[in-house]
Amino acid sequence: MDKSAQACSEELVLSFLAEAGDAFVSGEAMSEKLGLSRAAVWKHVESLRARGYRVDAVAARGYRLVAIPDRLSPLEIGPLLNTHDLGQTLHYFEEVGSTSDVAKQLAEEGADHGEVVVAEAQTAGRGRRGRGWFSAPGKNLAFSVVLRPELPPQRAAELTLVASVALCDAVRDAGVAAGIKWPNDLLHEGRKLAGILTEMEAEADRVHWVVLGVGVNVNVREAELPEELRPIATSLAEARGEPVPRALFAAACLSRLEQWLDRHAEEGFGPVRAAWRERSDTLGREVAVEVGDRSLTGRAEDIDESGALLVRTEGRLERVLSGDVRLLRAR
Amino acid sequence: MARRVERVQQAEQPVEAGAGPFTLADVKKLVEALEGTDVTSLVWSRSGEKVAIRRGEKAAPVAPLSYVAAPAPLAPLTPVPAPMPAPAAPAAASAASAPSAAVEQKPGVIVTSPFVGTFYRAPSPESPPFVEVGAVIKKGQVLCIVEAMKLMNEIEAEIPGKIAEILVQNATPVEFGEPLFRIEPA
Repeated sequence: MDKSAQACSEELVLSFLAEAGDAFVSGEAMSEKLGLSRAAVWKHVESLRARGYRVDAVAARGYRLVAIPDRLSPLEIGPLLNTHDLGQTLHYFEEVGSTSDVAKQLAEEGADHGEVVVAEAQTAGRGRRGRGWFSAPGKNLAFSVVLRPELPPQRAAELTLVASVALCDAVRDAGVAAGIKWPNDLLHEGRKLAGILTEMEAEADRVHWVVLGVGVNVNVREAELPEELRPIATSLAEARGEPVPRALFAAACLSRLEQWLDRHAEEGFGPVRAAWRERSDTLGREVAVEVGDRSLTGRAEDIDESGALLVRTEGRLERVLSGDVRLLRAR
Repeated sequence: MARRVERVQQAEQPVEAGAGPFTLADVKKLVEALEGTDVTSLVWSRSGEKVAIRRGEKAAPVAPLSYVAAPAPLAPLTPVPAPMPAPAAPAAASAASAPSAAVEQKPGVIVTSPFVGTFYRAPSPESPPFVEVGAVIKKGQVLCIVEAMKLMNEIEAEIPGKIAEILVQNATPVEFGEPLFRIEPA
């Protein structure tokens, strides 16, 4: 067996174990399904262990994947992916300025729909309007996805809400209660878990590319956050009380994202709008919205058929398309 | 209230010089005949072919889409005398047909907003604007950002030239098709 074939069947063993989740898989079942000898299966498990995977082996029950190395390289994320496009090409960096900057460059150079840039650390993570995005090397998740949607540019902003719904599902799957602050921040008990920044290049009637940049506070602990962020930010690990395997969470994000993108492509914005409302942490609350040097205050009533926030101020229903939304008080 | 330009069916076949019964000279005559009148839209059918002409201010958007419900004032946004609405018109406008003849008379090229959102002249409130009036720009250079729902759309110059005019205030709402810049081609 040459080296690449060896690596390949090792990935198959890993996928098999990952698929089974918390359950044991017998060596016999694996050797049968994967067409490997039981000795070969054992050898691959040993090799996975050497790479940092923790695999339990119990006589008469088989193998069980207990922990995966806390890295975001294609070796870790790849076997966990069940997507058809998203992340099938994964550009991995130990450190990068901003994953979105790299993804934009790749998009300019012709990257395909679904290519993903992921990094352990960002030195210049970006938020909206030139704000910084905090990076905790090796602790958090930052990735950017190149999309080439079949959408008129006028509808592309819907994708930012699609992404928020998908990310919300991935976070809830990880056992953390989360809601969406319009348009697409994820909050846990009022504190920010994740942000999404989307960039696009388009002509009047055609989208060239969209780069969806996602930052999630995964395993950073409160004490590691900059002081000014502590009152307003949190992480999955803080909310759960234990760390989350980042590769698993990254794969879950991509898979949820693909599901919702597919749904949006097939059924339009309707189901996304309904799902967004269900997951909203914004509707029904008093909000202050600032765009440029203007601001308005009122009750967030709904989002409309294009995703804009409808705010009831004194006697008027204002349609908000961009701006910073602050939640003023509890529901 | 601004005149609302009536929407008309797009001509099924773009009219080009020498193509079918309509000649470019015919279309020019039609355009001339409309000058000085209040007619904002005309559809002319002949021998199974059709010419549609729309003129006046930029087409009103289908819905009032902006941060504040009040539509952006039209007058300051159309400082370029525009006998024909082609650059500001929705995609339905048949750019290939008659109006292009009149558009070419404008001094320079108008960059319009490809979607509804908020117009930003700089990447962040602290940074200098992407371009100023008088700036010499390259093709593909970023001119501004239009944001909707945290989707940032960098608008690039499609031609090299000089920024002759910036038609919108920073951090204000823009409509689909709204003129943003006037560029004097290099």
